[in-house]
Amino acid sequence: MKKLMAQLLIILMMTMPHKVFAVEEYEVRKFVEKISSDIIKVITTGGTLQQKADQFEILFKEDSNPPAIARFIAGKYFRAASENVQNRYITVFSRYLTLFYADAMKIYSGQTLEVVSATEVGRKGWVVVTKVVDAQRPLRVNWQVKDSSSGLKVVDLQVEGISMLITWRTEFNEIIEDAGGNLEAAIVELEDRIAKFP
Amino acid sequence: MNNLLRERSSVAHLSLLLLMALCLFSKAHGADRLPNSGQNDPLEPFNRTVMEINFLLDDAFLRPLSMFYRDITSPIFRQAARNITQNLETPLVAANDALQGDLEAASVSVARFAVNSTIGILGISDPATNLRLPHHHNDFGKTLFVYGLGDGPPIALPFRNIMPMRDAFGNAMGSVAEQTLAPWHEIDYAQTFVVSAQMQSIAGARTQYAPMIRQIRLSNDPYALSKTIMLQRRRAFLMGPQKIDVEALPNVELE
Repeated sequence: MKKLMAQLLIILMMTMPHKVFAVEEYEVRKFVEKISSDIIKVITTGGTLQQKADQFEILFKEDSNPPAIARFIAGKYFRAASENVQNRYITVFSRYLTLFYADAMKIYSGQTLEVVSATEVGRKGWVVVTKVVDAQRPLRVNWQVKDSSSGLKVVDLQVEGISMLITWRTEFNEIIEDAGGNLEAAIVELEDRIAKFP
Repeated sequence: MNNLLRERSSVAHLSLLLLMALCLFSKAHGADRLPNSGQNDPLEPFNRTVMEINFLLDDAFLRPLSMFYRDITSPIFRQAARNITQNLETPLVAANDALQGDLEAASVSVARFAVNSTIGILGISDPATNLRLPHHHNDFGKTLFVYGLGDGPPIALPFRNIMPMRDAFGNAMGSVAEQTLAPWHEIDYAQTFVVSAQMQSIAGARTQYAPMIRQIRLSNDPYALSKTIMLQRRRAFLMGPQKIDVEALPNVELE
């Protein structure tokens, strides 16, 4: 009987529409609220920029996917590179990502984040529209979130319509192209940028 | 002063004709869709030259002037200059709101202009915002977008930035409308006041965007970076805050 029930359950799961297992809107909203509050916790606790970047590294591993972001930014140049270069690029990019955000967030001065809406955008995941409210004009920040086997992940931030990923991809593609398509050029550039952080 | 105005008006008309010609050229070459990735740039050599000139002008004049302006003025004074310029733009914003069929936004713009020009003393202060009549931007470029005109290729304009051809055309339409219709062009002192406020507003904006401009200038290819940033910003403005441009979103593969 148990075996029959288990078989029925498997058949049911296979035939049910995918949507039933898909993530719900409130979960996506909650996820963005949670990660933004975690980010604020990191930036409001003391410590050097490097220490904050270390904390961001833990946070990003859990709630984002720096290797996937790194792959997207280098695109075809990533695929053309050797495994050793790919791994080095991912490591350096992941460190740059954490330092970049730790540095960018240092201007934080008590602003609050309000989730306005969460919209499903097909295979590109979800877009959560948020408003960063301060004394002056509110800033519109869209969080692009995707579901994966290890849960929801933030893949991009679009600040007032400017996508961090598309901007970085443009910048790094120019650098790699100038070096004849060699991904090493991106590693050199990233190491140079990392060295400039305090 | 009238001769000067006639000359400025002729320049604006000439720009309009030139842009119309370029729009037709770009249509003929099938470049009416502009992806955010910055591809499809048939005017790139021209644009790069213009942006080089803009960067030189920025180094020589705008950056030092904006720093000097920031040092000698208080934030309240700078805000007043911004308010004046914003208020002067409001009639054109209202016209574009109406042309786009957004009568609610048009009525807000008209009410804003009335309140800020009177209680706000020629637009120096902005009491309208506190009366729930917030500022919003609108222009002829957006009107043409609403009417279905494609982006056209990106074009860099001297003293300006990179924008889709359609919006450059819209900009020229705005200049012609302002030169032709604005009443302050008939009064010498008013003209001086307006130009002074506009110059201060430009210097203030340069200060406001200084970190972004610095990042662009320090990049490997300032032209490519400024193009992607400006086109993305413009696209977001055209789509409005309520709509999500799904096509422009990056498609990141997680697994």
